[in-house]
Amino acid sequence: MFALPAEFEQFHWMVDMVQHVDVGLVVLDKDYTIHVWNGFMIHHSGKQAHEAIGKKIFDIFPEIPAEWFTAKSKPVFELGCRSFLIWRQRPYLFKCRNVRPITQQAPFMYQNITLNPMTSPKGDIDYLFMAVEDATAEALAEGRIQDK
Amino acid sequence: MATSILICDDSALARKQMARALPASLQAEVTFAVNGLEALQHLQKDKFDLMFLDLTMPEMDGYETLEAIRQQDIDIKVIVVSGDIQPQAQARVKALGAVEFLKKPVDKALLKTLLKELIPSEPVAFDEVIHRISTPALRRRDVYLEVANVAIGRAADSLARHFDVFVNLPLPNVNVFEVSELHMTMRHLASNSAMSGVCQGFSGEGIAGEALVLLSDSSVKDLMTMMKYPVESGCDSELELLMDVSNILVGSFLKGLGQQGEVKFFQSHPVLLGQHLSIESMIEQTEGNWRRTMTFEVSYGIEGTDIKCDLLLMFVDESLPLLDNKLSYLMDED
Repeated sequence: MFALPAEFEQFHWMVDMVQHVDVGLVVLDKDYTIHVWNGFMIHHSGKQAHEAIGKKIFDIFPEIPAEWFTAKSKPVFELGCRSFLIWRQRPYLFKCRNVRPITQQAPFMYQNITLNPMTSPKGDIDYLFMAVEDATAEALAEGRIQDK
Repeated sequence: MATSILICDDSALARKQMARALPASLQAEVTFAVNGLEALQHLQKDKFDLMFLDLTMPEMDGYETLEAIRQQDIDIKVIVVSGDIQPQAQARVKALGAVEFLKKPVDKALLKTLLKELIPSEPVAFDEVIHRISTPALRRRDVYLEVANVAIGRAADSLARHFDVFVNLPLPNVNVFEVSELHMTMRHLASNSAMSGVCQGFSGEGIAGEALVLLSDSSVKDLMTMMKYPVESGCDSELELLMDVSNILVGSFLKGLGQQGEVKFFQSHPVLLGQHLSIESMIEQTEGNWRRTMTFEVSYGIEGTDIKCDLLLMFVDESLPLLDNKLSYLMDED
C-alpha cells in the first residue's frame, strides 16, 4: 500500500527542493529584511546565506532602488496581489555575475521576478516571497531577432 | 406589523440575495425595482420603511436616485448596497443622505444588527406563519453579471487606493464570444489612436484563461502626468505604469471573482502584447486555437479625466463548465 513517509522526512524534501530548484527564492518581511535565501540565490549572487539572512535587502544590494522596489511591493502587502518585475522593465534586480562563459553571452543575468503575498493562518500578509527566474535566453533571443 | 422594503438593483441575483438576506422576523413586504427611475415611481406612490439601493445601474444610478429623493423630499431611510467599495464612494453616498453603506455580497449578521437599530422590531408570535419572500428565477447570465459587478468593485477600489484617484465604475458586459466576435469587440474598444496592451494568463483549480488590458496612448500620457511617476534612469516608466495598472486590475478582479467562487486564482507573468500599436496588429496576435470564450468586458474611467482603461477577461472552452459549477451555489439556494 502507498504511504507517505513521516512528516519530518516530507519536511526535508521541501527544504531540499527549495534549496535546489532552479529558481531563486527569497522571503522578505515588511521591513525588507531577508528571511530565506535559497541555493539559486547563493550560487548566482555570490552572497552566502549567512551574509544575506537577517539583513536588509537594500543594504546588501545597493543597486536596488529602494523607493521603486517599495512601490512595487506595496500592492503585494496591501492588496494581496502578485506583483511582477519583468526584464523588459528592468533587466535585473540582483546583479548576478555571468557564470557560463560559453552559452551565456550576456554580461549579467536577465531576470523575471514575481512578488507573491504570503498569507498567515490568520489571513494577514506579513511576508512576501520573491521568485527569481533566469530570463537571459529569452532576452538574448529577442535581441538577436531585433539585430537582424 | 410588516415592514415595507424597497430593493433597487439592476441585477436579478443581487435583488434575490438582498431579499434572502433579510431576517424572517422582519416580516418584510418586499418590492423590487431594477433602476433608480423605477424606484422613484414606487416611492412616489407608496410609503416604504426602508430602501436598499445599488450604485451602478443603467437609466438612473444610485447617486442620482439619492439626489432625486432629496430634491423631492421623500421620507425614506436608504441603505446603499454596492460592490463599489472605494472610500470616496462611501463618503459620497453618506453626504447624499444615505444612512448606511453595505458592501456586496451583504454580510447577514451585519445587516441584522443594522436593522435592529433602524427598525423597531416586535417579537414574532409563535403561531405566526413565516413566509419566504418569493424572488424571480435567475438566468446564468444574471449570475455572471453580478459576480463580475462585485469583482469590478474590488478592482476599482484597489486602483483607487493605489493611485489615489476616484474610479468611475462601469457596468460590465458578459458574453460568450466566437473568435471573430472578440475581434469585433476589441476594434470597438479601440475606436481611437494607438494602444498598448498587456496580457496576463491566470489559472486556478483547472479554470484558466487570459486577461487583456488595453490602454490608449493618450490615456497612458495623462496617467503619467497625473501620477508623477518616480522616474528611474534607464527604465521605461511608461512600461512600468502599464504593468502596474494591468497587474492591479487583473489581480484584484481575480481575487474578487475567486472569493465568490471559492477558487484561488494565480496570475502568471504579464506579457507585453505591444506598445503604441494599432489595434489591428494586436488582433493579429490574438488568433489562438480556441473556439469559444466567455468574456467579461469592463471599461474603467478615472474621474475628471479622459483616461480610459479596458479589461477583457476571457475564459476558454474547458473552463466554462468548471466555472459554472463553482458559481452554481448562487443560482439554487432554495
